[in-house]
Amino acid sequence: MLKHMRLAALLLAGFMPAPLAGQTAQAVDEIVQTAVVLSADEATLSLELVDGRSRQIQLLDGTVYIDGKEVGDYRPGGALERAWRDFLRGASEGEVLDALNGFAGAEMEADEAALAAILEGLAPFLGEISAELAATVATPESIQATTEWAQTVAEAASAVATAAVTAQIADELVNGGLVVELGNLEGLATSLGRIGLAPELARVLKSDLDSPLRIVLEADEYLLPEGAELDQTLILVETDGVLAGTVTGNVLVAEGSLLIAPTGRVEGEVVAIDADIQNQGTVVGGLREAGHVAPVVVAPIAPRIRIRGGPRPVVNNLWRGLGSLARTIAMYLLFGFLGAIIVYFFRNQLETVSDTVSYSFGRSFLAGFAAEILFLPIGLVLTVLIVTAIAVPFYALGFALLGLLGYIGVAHAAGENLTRHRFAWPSRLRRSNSYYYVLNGLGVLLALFVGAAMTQMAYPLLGWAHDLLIASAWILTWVAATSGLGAALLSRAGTQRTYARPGQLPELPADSLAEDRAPFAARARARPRAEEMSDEI
Amino acid sequence: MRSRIIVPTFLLLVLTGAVAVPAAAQSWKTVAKSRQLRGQEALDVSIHYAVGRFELSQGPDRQLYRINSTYDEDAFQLTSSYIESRGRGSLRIDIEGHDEVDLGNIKDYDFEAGNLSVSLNGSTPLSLSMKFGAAEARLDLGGLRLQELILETGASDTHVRFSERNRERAEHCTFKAGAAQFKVDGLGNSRCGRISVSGGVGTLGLDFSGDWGHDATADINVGLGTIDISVPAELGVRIERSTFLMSFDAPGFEKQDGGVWLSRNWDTAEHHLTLSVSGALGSIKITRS
Repeated sequence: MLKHMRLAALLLAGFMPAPLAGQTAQAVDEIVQTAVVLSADEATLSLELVDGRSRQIQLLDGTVYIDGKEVGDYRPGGALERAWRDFLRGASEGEVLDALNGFAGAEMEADEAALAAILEGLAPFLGEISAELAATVATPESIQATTEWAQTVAEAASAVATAAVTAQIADELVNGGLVVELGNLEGLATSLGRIGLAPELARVLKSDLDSPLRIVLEADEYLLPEGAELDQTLILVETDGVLAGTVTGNVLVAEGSLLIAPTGRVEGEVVAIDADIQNQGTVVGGLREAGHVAPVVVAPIAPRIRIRGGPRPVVNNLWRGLGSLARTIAMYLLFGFLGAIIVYFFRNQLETVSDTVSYSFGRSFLAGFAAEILFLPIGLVLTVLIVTAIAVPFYALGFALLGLLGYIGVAHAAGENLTRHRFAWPSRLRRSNSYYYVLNGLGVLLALFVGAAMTQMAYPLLGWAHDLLIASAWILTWVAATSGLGAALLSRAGTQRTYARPGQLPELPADSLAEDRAPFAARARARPRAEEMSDEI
Repeated sequence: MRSRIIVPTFLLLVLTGAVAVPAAAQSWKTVAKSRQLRGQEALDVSIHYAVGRFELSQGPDRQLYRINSTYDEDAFQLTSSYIESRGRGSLRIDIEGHDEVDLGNIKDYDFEAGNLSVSLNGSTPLSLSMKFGAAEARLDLGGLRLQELILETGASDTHVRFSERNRERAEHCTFKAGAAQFKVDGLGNSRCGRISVSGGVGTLGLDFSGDWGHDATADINVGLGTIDISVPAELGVRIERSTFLMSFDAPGFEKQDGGVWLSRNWDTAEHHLTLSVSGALGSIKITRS
């Protein structure tokens, strides 16, 4: 209600929009830093004035915050948010004044309360517009929240000497937030780290264990006036501070800002963690920025991106498992299609590769392994020898085609062996064709991937099985591809049977002979039938 | 009996999962920061950028710097800080991946949509240090007051341009390229006294054109790859070659003893450039334009 009245008073006074522009003209010059953050649920403006004062106005998930305190609500996607985002886009381009005029002139009757709060927040940066507008906005809820958070800190530290929400302590001016004085610092760094403060902060604190600390948390403003002396180490967390007096210890600023006035003096060092420091005074120990990150040179992603450690939701695992299963089926269909083409056009070559890998598996694997090792160096030599550079694409394509022929050849061999051992003689005859072999063999080669996909759906329960299966599947795939490639090379792409078995008829298993009451007649019938049907559709 | 329970339950879970879990989306965040120029006498800039598109150029006179970045806040974090002491500012920008990136989806990740754009004041002396990972970088350093430049790239495509003359004499410019496509144009405008270029694997393109008002030396070293160097015809050029299994092509240069080549105008040219080229595998081509 009060905010509505303020807005009405503003409108009556003719504050918006024209006078605003005139009054901001001078104030914009005083803004030394503008920071804008825009995301799906957040639109934040942070301003810093030349005298060290700063202000943050944030629209986040339907709530308006000024310097972290909740001051009103807005409708996500509504007129206020749209106008605010337009303003921020303009401000991010450096056109603060024009953008501000546009924002103040926008029609936002539906969000009057929040608008009034935002204008209040901006008021200190726009000159002495109105004493009422410049009043600090603080709600009982925000103070309560800050107090509760501070109590958590105090309990975790387990060594709090005094703790109080203060407005004035000794010579210092602290507006809002919390001041904690710590005399016994044992375990403090560990405790702070436990409640989530930055490891760097904890590390710096450990170096200050010999002197008492004064920690100022989430204060709107901290001021050590000229002539005042603080015989402690000062830590400002999410606080904007001004030092015009003397600090005999170190000063650490985390996620805030600090202006050291010309009369300000710090006997120790000033450490900044994600903070802005302006030093116009004296810092005996020097300025230091903490939180240094290892440089990125050649492989920046691996050390910087790590696999998520926490458990995944069940539905997520299910979804991922289904995705893996679909990918495996797609791979099966793709290789099946390619295999069918190879059988149709290059059946003899495929059978030669298949026989080579079956009867000279060790030799094929070693040949393939050697080829994989030599592939890159040979490619590089071809590349650097300019004249042969044109052959590089053909070299790579040839290698890939040989690999494909080899892999399908291995699938063919696997399918053939499976058929031989899985089915009795009459059934085997019906299945004795290369299409069947390839499709069957691919099923064998990809079966482990299917198993891994199924276990991925129940990852928390069968995570070990999934990991085992996926590792086995890739090892099997590599062995198959390597030996297939080697077989393709040994057989000169299936044109030479040097390392393949000599052509022969399928052997009849003993049990089928025993069951056959007329073995000789059956063999006489079976032999030409086998020749007719073998490797045909 | 057991399968009668398991199968419908499984199907229900499948359907639930299919409906409830949308495809993973990237959560984009835009951050813009700018600082007014208020009498700073110098600025040290340090930029670490892991993945995405990067641009750097000269900004408005009234601003010390301006940063604009869009990145996926689920995968990366932007940290920027500014410290000023006795008129010398120190700007640090770091975009790094944080712990909760899921490598399961990384192949579908749209890295190129992330970007960082930095503009710097042209009247403030600058010391510039940049490190890129897998980035596509476009830098126009023309018109700045560069005192020192260090640029390191990983697996990146980097194009550096000195479109205008450097307003300051730079003592040393260092370029280190990993597995990269790396190109620098207008090195004559850089006013660097000593240029150092090293590359791991890839293609280096160095264009020494520009407004030459000084002599310079350049050490160029590449492990494996191609070096294309272009030097202005009016410049006196000396090439000291130390290579292994590298083809060398320098038309218009006269071979001297000890692996040295000289341009014909070496004795008469107003300004001189000494190139020291070394490498292991690849090719070097030096042309005069």
